[in-house]
Amino acid sequence: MNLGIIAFTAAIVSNVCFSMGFGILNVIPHKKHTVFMLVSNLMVLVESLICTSLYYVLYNYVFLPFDLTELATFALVAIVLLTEFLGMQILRRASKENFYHYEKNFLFVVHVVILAGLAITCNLTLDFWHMLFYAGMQFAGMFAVNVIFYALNSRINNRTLPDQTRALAPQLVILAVLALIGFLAQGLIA
Amino acid sequence: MNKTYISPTKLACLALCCMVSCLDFGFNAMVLAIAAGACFVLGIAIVSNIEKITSNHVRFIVYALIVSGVITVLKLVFGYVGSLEFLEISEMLDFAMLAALVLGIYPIYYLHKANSKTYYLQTITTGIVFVLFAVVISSIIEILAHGSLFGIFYFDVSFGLLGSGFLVFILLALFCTVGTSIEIASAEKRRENRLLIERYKYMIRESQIAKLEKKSQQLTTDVFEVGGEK
Repeated sequence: MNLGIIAFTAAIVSNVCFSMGFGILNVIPHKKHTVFMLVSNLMVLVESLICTSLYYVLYNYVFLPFDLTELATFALVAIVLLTEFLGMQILRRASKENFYHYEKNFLFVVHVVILAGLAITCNLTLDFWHMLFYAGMQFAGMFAVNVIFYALNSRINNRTLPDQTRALAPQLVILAVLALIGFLAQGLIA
Repeated sequence: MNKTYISPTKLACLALCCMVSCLDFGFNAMVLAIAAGACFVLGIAIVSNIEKITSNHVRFIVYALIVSGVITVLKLVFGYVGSLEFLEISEMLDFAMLAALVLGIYPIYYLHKANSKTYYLQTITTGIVFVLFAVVISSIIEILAHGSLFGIFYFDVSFGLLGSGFLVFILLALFCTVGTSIEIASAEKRRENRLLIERYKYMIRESQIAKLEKKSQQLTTDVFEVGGEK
């Protein structure tokens, strides 16, 4: 399959933020700290590549030949939990400040959901390297949305807004606009 | 450590965000939401028994394994049912698992120090709010995008745009705003009630003190009067 089509499908058509939805969880915690945002996203990238690779190998060489595909979800969650737990321990030893933000914003849960989602939505019918490229592009799509929200943070979390409409509601409206743009882009290219 | 507070309504909206791609049809969304809610309540009920033994992260790991186990069982059950609709839904059950994992944040990280009544009440309320949001939002989308409700066609329309995430996010923003308003109003009401109770307590205490003072004054005058007579 053409790399351009894979990139477009992974980053725009099946974007994990505005098409699949679960990517928004990774967007919310990064409010002010640029270094923390980059560290957290780097963690997601590395862990997602590890998890997706392991899941791909298990799915295609164990579950599919032995017709055990129903067990794939359980195995995936176990892999994701183990990877994230190891990642958390490494972050704890590497940087106290980033670990503080990690703990404060439930990033353990958020990363588990994101990693599981990225592996579930990854195209496992491709060959290994194309699948890794697909996973990388999925992450790129999520990171782009993350940067947009990071830039708009001061507008979204504006203190002058009433409590009811602060934070999540404007983020969802922006996601709706992005979903609309994604839908139109998909239509134009098709 | 003070964790960032996420209200149950916002959590339900975030959990629904994980199911955005499955909210096209009311029936599918209802089954998935009920499955996610059931996994959530079951997982939390089991995890609540080990709350005093381990840390929150370990309890979340146990919770995630329970939820994924239940989802695996549901997949097998839906496979045995054999109906085309259920086979289609069983492919989307992974997204229900993601939603159940997100819902788990509130009881595991916030309610671990609450009493058992609050714990279960809040858990079940969050689950019910999640299912209600899913059913209402998916019904609206099904009517507007496909002209049907729970598989019964009412008029012949097909708006692909409304079936995409666009309308779901708009509706979620609306529901989030309404839900947060209700939460803030109920919190304000609770605060007012608490203040009222405090005021009544203060008034009762004041009147009791006044009564006691009056009584002691009377006793003093009685003693003086008795002393004067002597």
